[in-house]
Amino acid sequence: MMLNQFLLLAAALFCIGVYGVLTRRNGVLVLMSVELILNAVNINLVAFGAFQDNVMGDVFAVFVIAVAAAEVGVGLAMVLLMYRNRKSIDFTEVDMLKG
Amino acid sequence: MIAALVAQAANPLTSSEFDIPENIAFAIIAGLMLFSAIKMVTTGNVMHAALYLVIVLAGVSALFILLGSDFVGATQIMVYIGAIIVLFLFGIMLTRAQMGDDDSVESERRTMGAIVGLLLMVVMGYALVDGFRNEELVFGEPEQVRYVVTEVALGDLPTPVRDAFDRFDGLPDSTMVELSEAEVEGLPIEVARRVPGAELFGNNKEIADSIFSQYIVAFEAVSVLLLAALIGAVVVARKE
Amino acid sequence: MSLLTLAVEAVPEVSFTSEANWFLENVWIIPLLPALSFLGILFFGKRMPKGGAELGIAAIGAAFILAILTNVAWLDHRDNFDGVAESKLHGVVEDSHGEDHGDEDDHASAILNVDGVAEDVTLTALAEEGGEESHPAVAVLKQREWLVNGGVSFLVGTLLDGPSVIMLFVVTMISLLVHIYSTDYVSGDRRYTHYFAFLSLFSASMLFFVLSSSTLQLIAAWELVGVCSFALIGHWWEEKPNSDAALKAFLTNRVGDIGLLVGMIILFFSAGGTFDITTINEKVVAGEISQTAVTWAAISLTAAVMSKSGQFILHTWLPDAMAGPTPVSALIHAATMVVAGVFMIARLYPVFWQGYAISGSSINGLAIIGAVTVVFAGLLAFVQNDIKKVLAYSTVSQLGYMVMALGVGAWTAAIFHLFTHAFFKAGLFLGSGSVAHSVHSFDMKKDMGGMKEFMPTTYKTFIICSIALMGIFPTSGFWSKDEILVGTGGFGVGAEAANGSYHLMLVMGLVGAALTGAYMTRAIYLTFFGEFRGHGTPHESGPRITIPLIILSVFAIGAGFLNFPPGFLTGSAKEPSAWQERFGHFVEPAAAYFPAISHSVPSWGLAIVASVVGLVGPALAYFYYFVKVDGLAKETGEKLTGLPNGLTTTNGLARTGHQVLVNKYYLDWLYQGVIVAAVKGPIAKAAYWFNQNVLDEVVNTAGRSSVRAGQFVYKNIDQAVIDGAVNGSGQLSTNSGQGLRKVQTGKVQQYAAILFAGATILAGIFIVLV
Repeated sequence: MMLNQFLLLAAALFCIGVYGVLTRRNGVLVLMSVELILNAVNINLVAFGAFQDNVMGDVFAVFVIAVAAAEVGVGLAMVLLMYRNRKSIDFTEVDMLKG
Repeated sequence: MIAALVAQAANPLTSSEFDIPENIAFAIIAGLMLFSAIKMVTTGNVMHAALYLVIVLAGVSALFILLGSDFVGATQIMVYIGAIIVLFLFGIMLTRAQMGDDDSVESERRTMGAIVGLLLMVVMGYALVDGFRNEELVFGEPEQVRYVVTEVALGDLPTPVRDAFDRFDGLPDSTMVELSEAEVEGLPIEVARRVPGAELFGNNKEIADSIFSQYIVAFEAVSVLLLAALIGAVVVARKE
Repeated sequence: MSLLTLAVEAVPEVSFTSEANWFLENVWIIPLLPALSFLGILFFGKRMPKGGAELGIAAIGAAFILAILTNVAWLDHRDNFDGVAESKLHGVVEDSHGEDHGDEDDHASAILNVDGVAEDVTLTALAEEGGEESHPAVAVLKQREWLVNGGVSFLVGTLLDGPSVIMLFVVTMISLLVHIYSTDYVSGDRRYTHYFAFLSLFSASMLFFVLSSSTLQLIAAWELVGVCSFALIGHWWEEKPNSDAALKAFLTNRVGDIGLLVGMIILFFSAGGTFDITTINEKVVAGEISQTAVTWAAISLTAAVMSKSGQFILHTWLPDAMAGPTPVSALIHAATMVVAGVFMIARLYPVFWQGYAISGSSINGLAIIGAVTVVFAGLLAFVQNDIKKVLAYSTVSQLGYMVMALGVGAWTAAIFHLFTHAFFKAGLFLGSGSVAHSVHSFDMKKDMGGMKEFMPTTYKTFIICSIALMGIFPTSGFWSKDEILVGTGGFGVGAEAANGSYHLMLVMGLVGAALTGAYMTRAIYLTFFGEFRGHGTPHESGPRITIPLIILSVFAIGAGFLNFPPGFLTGSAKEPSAWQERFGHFVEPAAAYFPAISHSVPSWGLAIVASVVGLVGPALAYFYYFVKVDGLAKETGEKLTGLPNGLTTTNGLARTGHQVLVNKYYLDWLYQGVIVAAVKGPIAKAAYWFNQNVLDEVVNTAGRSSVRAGQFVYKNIDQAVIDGAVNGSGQLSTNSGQGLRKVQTGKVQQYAAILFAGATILAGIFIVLV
């Protein structure tokens, strides 16, 4: 197997994730797309770990999974809060940062 | 010679030649993942999106196993599919997002997203192809492989293997030694038998060792982060 | 005089031991006590009968007793230790006496070239006090491995040697007195318990700091001290200026902390991946680290010192920090926080010694910063009406002395000044707090005056501490300041065995001494003399306030006797008697982790010159305030605030008006004097003329010019340049913010799109270029 086939697949997943983050209106779906991005990164880590024949990639992939779990927890809590306050989780309606 | 062949057959990842089974597996997994990922970001149904995400995550896990990282693959399944997806489903239900089509995404935003995504893909793809064009994943045989050697055959052992046995004090009727591939070469199969599964979870020990020694600070930091996220999520989501 | 026999102390080969007296080995208990009391007060303080104060006092009291015992144990250990000593570089050295040094020891053969004279200088690796002095001061190092990560082992532990032992004493003692004082001063405060909790933590952090054995510990303690000072300066945060002051202190310190981190990182990598202070110091002393790395580390660390120890131009937070309760100011200025910077230099002295090439040069960054601070802060102290701000600028100025002393290689003098300064400055702050406590104000002009009558104890202790601060014989300030001036080695004073000839530093130090005397005389006049200008009837404070004052003033007089210069009364400069230079002997490290500093030999001439100069300042100020202003006040019967006086007005128009008034008054006064004089005989007339025109002119000019200089510095440099830079950066960001506002649509996903697109384009450019 070539290293590149994993890397290119990860890149494609990453771009699909970015597309999702940029276009989805539903907050939960945006978080799901973020998961896609994180998983793409994990594939890279593990592929490089296998390529270099050490466990560093695996270790960091495990850390990324842990961080992703934390991210989903806090992210969903925020979406819930947003839903409770605005009765909507549409990201396009949130524009209080407008200058 | 026979032993080497057997060893090679026992470990599907040894071959450095064109390995058809793995590539076929990869192609199927990759195709499924790409399809599901694209469906996930385009489908109008939130529930379907979550299910497509399951497929992608399972695919990632399969890739990990394909790459020989069984531990990470197992973690991926347990944490992602077991926990995170459930969390997402709860999120979907609690926010009572419409279960049906809500795809009212304006075309303008879609174009913008598509342009950025494609641009990113072109740049990354070029960089990857340019940088890693001919890099091959070689799953080199682990330096030391475990073999069971029976006492019966001890006398027939060639010198390097006997030397290896000298490292042990006293020999029970059968023992496990770690020998390199070269040392095993030419041994009759009943003398040196590869222990099944010995290398299947081979790098677990290494992962554990390095997490709790070399990366102990990162590990502690992640545990603090999880604690902070736990408290943060409770504080953010609770009702006043 | 070109051929000098120099007493160069050779660097011993040993630096520490891990087996010593119980008190020296278990010194970690001392910071632990106040740390535990912090937790105790935090969780149970409210439920205690005295609101947690009793726990804090008990803990710091116990720490104080332990610190004294540790000091006693150190006195014995310093001279009589004959166990197995080790060194990080050389390993275990069997012969811990270090008697055979000088033979092959290349440190001993460093060539010193005094006054640029090219002839060979005969070097003798003489021990300073004969055989006895050559006994190395073996530090007590207790370390254990905290964790290993990426091949680097992180050690934590205590490094106990002369400077840390003496700091243990100073910190615990000042802290104990401040605790006792505070029970009266902040009684009835709404956050009484919170106050004592942080007081405990503050002491614990500083004790932790002085005992640190690794740079990581040093950084952690440094930040802890900063956090505590933030909490205590902003103790009364309901009022905006107080919380602003706390923020200013914290943020200004952040600027320097970057220097600290950078410096420590440089040291970490250049010393081969270790945080261990002993190892770093030993390697620097042995010349195993490149000069460039050491220089940059020294420069970065200097930035940290500038912010922490309030050196010019990062001193601005210190006067604002007066917003905190007065006992806290005493603690910050005397024993904790600001001296942390000085102590850090002392702790990593080889880095500065080597980095700035202190031994050979006649000017270097550290010395310049110190010297400039001495004078500029002294001038600023003139135009302050708030008694605490006068003292704050005075602290800045005195810290300048310490940094300058370290910059010129007078290590012992700096630590000695730190030691004596702690007592008299704490006494001054607590005294000013005592006055303010009874008049409910810090404004000397509006609400004080004549306090001598009302508060005799406070008055006496304040005077004693002021005299010590002015450095007048025989108070403690005299000895330490004189030692610093000698250490500069400028103009040949103390040139014998000096490290370099720092002429400028000597001049600045003398000017600073005169200024110190002058502004303290002014503060004393405004506070304690003249008419009482406040409201109500002030009364003397209670015993919990006066007793610490008395104790501190006793130390303000006596602390200086610990380090009589060699040759004082008996003995000679080369061979001090047994009771001379005791402080230096017990405090200055003589081990492999400390550079071979030469010690200047004190000179009587300089002591006399310094005393005279130090008296000129107070004398001028005395004439101006006690004779002129006081006479004026009596003559006009007006209160001081009603007097035309250009000192206080900050408004330009009003100042001009006042100036005119002042001049008019002088004219009238002179006319009267001339007319009166005209009727007297010619000799009296001539003498009178001389008195009026020459002497008075000198007095007036000196007074006026120092006031002008002070105002100039305050107005143009402090207010315009530094504040201007701060405001300018704010303005810039406001403008650019207005411009960028239009891009802000508030749609997060659009932001994300821009982010990704930007990153992609940058990545693309990178790929194409590389």
